[in-house]
Amino acid sequence: MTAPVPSADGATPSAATCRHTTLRAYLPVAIAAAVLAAVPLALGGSGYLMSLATTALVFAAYAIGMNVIFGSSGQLFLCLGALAGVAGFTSVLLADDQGWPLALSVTTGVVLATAIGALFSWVAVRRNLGVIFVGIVTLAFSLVFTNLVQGLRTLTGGETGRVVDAGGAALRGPISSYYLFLGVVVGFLALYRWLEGSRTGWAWRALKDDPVAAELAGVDVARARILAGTIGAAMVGLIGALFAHHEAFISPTSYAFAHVDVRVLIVIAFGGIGSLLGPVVGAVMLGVIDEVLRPLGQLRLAVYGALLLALFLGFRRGVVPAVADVVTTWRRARTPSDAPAAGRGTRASKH
Amino acid sequence: MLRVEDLYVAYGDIEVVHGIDVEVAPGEVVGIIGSNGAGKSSLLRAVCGLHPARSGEIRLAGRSIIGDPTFRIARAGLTYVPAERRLFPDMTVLDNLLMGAYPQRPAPGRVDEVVALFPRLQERRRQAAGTLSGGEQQMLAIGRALLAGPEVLVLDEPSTGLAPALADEVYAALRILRDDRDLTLILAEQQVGRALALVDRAYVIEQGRVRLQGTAAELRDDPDVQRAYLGIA
Repeated sequence: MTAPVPSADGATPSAATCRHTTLRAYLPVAIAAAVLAAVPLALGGSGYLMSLATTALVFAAYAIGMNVIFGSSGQLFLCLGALAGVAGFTSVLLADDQGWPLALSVTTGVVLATAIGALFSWVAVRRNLGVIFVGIVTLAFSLVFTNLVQGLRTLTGGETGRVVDAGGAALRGPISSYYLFLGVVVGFLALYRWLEGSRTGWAWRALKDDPVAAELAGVDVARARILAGTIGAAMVGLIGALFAHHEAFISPTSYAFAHVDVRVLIVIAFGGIGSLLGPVVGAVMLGVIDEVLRPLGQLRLAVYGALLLALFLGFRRGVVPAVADVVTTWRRARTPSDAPAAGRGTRASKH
Repeated sequence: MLRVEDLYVAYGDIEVVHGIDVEVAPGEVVGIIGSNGAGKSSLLRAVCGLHPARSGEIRLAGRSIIGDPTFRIARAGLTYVPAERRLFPDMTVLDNLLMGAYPQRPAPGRVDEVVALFPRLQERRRQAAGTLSGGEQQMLAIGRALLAGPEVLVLDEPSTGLAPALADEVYAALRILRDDRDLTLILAEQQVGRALALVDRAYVIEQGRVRLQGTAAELRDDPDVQRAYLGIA
């Protein structure tokens, strides 16, 4: 069927309006990219601050992956760190020990992480696992992964980790690596926005609302879920692999549950689960909190736990959707009452 | 169009449908009537693939659909509207309708055609479906199903939980659909009087078996049906 996307009022828009709507949907991505691109200028070339900013981008990217897996299709993967670590260790072992070219080793790591993510989704769908059981199974995988890495000491360096040689200037320089990870984040955001408007995005929205209703409407719920797990795991794997080569050091701690999963959950809970820019806003916020809490040392983890509890109990909607609502209400109050609410209920409504 | 042969349905060890045969011709309007717990919903849930059948055969336009997943049966042209409606509560009325056409986009004007059948939906286009009243939700559920462009529309208790005036409104729309002879309509209903006023033919289900079948007129005149379902002594 070639009919264009119906607009919010059900009328069929012309091709020009359609293109306009499509471009407008990517506007938040472009604005975020522009703002983030200016960050190095604002930080005045401080190596320390740049490394914090890069870390924030890494977590924003992880969180976008989690948004695809959990935010879109409700699969609670508690193994983001492990998936990232699978890709990271695979890439480092292949590049440093086997002499593979970096692009190939990273790709192999990503493929492996993607396959594992797809497998979890497939098992969850086949066994009809609920949110909690998906959480338990993937958390168990996180534990297995950590133990495996610690046990295979000759390969991985065990608990102390190992130095990573393969990398290159682009991945290591404070400014260049910032822009590299920014490129990844912007790419992920654009992909996320595109997915939202696609058939798959509609399937995710529907199955998140009511999987049985989605199935009755003709949505292949199993396929949509597996697709979410696969795409999200690929994103997480890519970041995990790049991060290892960027840091020039790899250890189980970099991919530990407490280090990755807990923080990513804070990021998406704070930013807004399933919102486009939520991961970016949440990751910036986490970076600031990280700095403020630095004097606490190991106690920070306890604070993160408490923060996660507070966010999930009291503020699950997240800051981005909350702000978007305020803006919508304000705009509606300014326009005559019969005017359509700005973009509500259309594909471009979530910022 | 739809043929159910010797169908058995069970929940665990408890068998609730014991060998039902139903046959519906293209364009026919057929009622599945009976009291609460007779097995009507279990029969329909098995037909649309929401619950596995224990044994038997289900054919849609000659092709076996037994064991197929629900989404595939829906795409093959059989759309089921459950008694509990199953809307997408967080989506707007319009998005619910658009979702009905998944995986395609509705043909231009199709949404307007469906909304014309249920004018109440027009006013509520941008409202979240979860905020609709019961009657409006039922209308939206039927509207969403129509956007799938089904060949067979299966409605489970469309008057459940509705005030009589709203049930009348829903049935008025169903009468319009009945006159569209491209659509095959299957309707499960406990309000037997209402159903018999609409359908061409009906099956009376009792305790998981077909007790009686016949044209609407035959069943209206049947003394057993009158006594058990129509409140005529």
